[in-house]
Amino acid sequence: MRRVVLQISPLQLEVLVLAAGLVELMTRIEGHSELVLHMKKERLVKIELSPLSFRDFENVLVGKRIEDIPRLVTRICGLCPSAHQVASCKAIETAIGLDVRDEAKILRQVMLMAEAVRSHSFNFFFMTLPDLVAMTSQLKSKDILEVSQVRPGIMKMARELLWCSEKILDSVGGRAVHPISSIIGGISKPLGREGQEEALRALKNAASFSRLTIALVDQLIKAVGDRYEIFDVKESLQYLTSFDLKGGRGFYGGPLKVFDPKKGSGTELKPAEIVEGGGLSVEGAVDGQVVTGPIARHMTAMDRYRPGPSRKQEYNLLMINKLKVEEIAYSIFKSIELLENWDFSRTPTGIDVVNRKGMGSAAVEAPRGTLIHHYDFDNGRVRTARIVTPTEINRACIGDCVNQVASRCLDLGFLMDDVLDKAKAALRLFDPCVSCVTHTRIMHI
Amino acid sequence: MNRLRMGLVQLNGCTGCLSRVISCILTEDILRVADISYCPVVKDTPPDSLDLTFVEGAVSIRAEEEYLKKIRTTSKTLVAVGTCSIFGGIMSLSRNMNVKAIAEAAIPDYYLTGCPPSKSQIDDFLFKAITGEIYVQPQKNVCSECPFKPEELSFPLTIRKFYPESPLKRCLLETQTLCLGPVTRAGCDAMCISFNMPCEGCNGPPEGNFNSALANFFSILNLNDEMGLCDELFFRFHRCNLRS
Repeated sequence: MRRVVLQISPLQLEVLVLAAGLVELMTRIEGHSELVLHMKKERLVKIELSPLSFRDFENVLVGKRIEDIPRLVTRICGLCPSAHQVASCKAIETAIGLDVRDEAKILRQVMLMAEAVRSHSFNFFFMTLPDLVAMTSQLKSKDILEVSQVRPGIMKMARELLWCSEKILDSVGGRAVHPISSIIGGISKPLGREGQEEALRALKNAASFSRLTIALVDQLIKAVGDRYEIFDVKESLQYLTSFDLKGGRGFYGGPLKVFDPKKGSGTELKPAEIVEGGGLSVEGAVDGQVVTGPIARHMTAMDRYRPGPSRKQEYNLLMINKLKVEEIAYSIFKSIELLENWDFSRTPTGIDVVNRKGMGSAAVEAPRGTLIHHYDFDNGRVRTARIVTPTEINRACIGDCVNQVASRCLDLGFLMDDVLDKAKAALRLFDPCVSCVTHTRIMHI
Repeated sequence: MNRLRMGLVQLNGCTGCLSRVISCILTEDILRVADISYCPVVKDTPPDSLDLTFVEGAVSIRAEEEYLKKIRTTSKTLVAVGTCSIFGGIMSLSRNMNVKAIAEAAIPDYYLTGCPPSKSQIDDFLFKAITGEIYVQPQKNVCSECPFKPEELSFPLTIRKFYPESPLKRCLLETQTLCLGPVTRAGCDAMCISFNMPCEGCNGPPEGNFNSALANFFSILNLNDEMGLCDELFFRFHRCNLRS
C-alpha cells in the first residue's frame, strides 16, 4: 500500500492523517465534507465523501406536532427547502387520506420548479461552470468571479436566473429560502392576480437568459475537445423518477418508476417500498445502479427539452451541465404555461389535523432527484420520521462514476493533483447535498 | 479605495442564509467595490485577512469551533447570519448533539436575524458595510410591522390553537391563536403573518430585557390545557440561547 497523505485543506481544520489515502476538503460543494481517495498499489480502491458534521433531523422531528412538520423540515436544506416542505405535506395528506385541490397542487409545482431553477443555477454557475471553463481557457482561480472576467456576461445570466427564481418563490412561497405557504391541506395564501402577473413578468424576463445559458454550455462543451472523453461513463444506469399523469416530468410527483433503458420499460415503485428498504432497496430490486435527478428526468420523461444531447453524449458526465441548464429552461417555460392557464384567486387553505393518526409516505422531484418523506403519527404527533434524499439514492452511482473518472485519469498517467481535480469536478456535477444527507456520518460513495 | 474583502463561512447550517447573502452580493454595485475573497461553497482559496465575514450555522463539533476561532482572528468584522448562528437554531432541538450559538466560541460584531434574514435586511447591512455606516438591528417587535393591529384584546388572552383556520383578517391573538410576534424582533415585515401563518419567532427576542418581556407576555395568556407543556410552546422551532 502506498502511503500518500495530501493535505490541501483550505480550512486547515486539523491535520487529517489517513493512512494510504488522499484527503481533500471539498470546496464548491454544498455543505462541509472531505473527499478521501483510498489507494492501493497505485490503484484506486474506494472514494469516500465524508461530511464533517451531522444533522440529526429525523430525531428532532419525533414528538413534534404534525402541523409544525412542514415548517420544520424546510430547514433541512437551504437549496431545496420547498421540496422538503411539499414532500412532508404530501406524505401527511396521504396518511390522512386527503386530496388537495388542483390549484394548490399547481402552486406547489410552480414552487418546485422555481426551486429547480434556483438550485441548478447555484450549482451550475458557482460550482461546475468554473471547472468547465478551466478546461477550455487559463484561469487564475476557479470561481465565478474569475470566470466572469474571462467571459463577461456570465454574471448577468447567473444573477437574472437566481433573482427570477427567488422572486417567484417569494411571491408563491412567501420566502425564497424556507418557504411558508405550503401547509397540510393546501396553500396558506392564494397567489392572487397581482402575484400571478408579477411572477409571469419575472419568468418571461428570465426565459431569454435560460436560452443564452444553454448556448453557452453547448459552446463550452464543444471547446473542451478531446478531454471530453475523460468524463465518459459506462451505460449501465437505471433511472428513478416520478412522472406526471401524461408521462412528463412530475415535479409534484405522480407515479414513481425505475426505468431500465435496456428493457425500455419502467417498474412502478411505491415511495413506502424505498423507505422500508432503508433507501437502498432500489439497488437490490434492480440490476445495475440507480440514478435520480436531472439525468433520470431527461432520459425518461416524455416532455424532453428538444433537441437535447445526442445519444453518445448522454453517457458523459459533462452532459449533466447541459441537462441542468435545459431543466432551468424547461421549468421556466412550464411555469409560464401553468401560471397563464390557471386561476389562483380562490383559496385552497389548510385543514385542522389536531389529534390525527396515520402513516404515509410521498415522493416529489427535488432539484437533485426523487425525495421521499415518510411519517408515522399518532395523536397528532410524530412517532417516526424517515427522509430519503436524492443524494442518498444516488450515492452508489456517484461513487461509481467518480471512480471511473479518477481511474481513467490514473491510467492516463495524470499527476495526483490533476486526478483529484477531475474527481472533484465529476463529483460536483452530481451536486451532492451534504446538508440533506441527514442520516449518516460517513457517506461511502 | 481598497476593495472590501468578504468571507462567507458555513458551520452546521443548511446553506440557506449563505445562498441568500450571495445572491444579494451579486449586484454590480457591490461587486464594483467588494470581492468574495473566501467562500468554500463557491471558491477554492483559503481564508486570508478578511474585512467582513458572514457566518452561517451553529457550532456542533470541536472542529467547527476551532475553525470559527481561526476565522475570527483572520477577520476584522464578524457577522452572525441567521437563527442557527445566533441562537443555535433548529439543530439545538437535537437530543443527540450538543449545538451551540457561535457567540459561545467567538463573539460576532453584528447580528442579522431571521431564518434566513430578509433580503431587505441583508441589502441594508451590505450598503452600510460598504459606506462605512454602523448597522443597527431593528429594535421593535414583529407587531410593529404587522398589518393587523389588535382592536379588542381582552386580558387574560385566551389561546386555543397554533394555526388559524382561515385567511387572516385580524390579529392572530384576537382569534385565540398563538403568535410569537409580540416577543420577536422586527425586520421581516411580518412575512409569515402576511402569508396567514403565525410568527414562529425565528428573529429571536427584541431589544431590552427579554426575560421580563416574555414573562409579561405569558402572564397575560390563558392557555388551553390542550396546548401542551410549556416546553413545547417555547421550543417548537429552536431552543433560544438568551445570552445573545
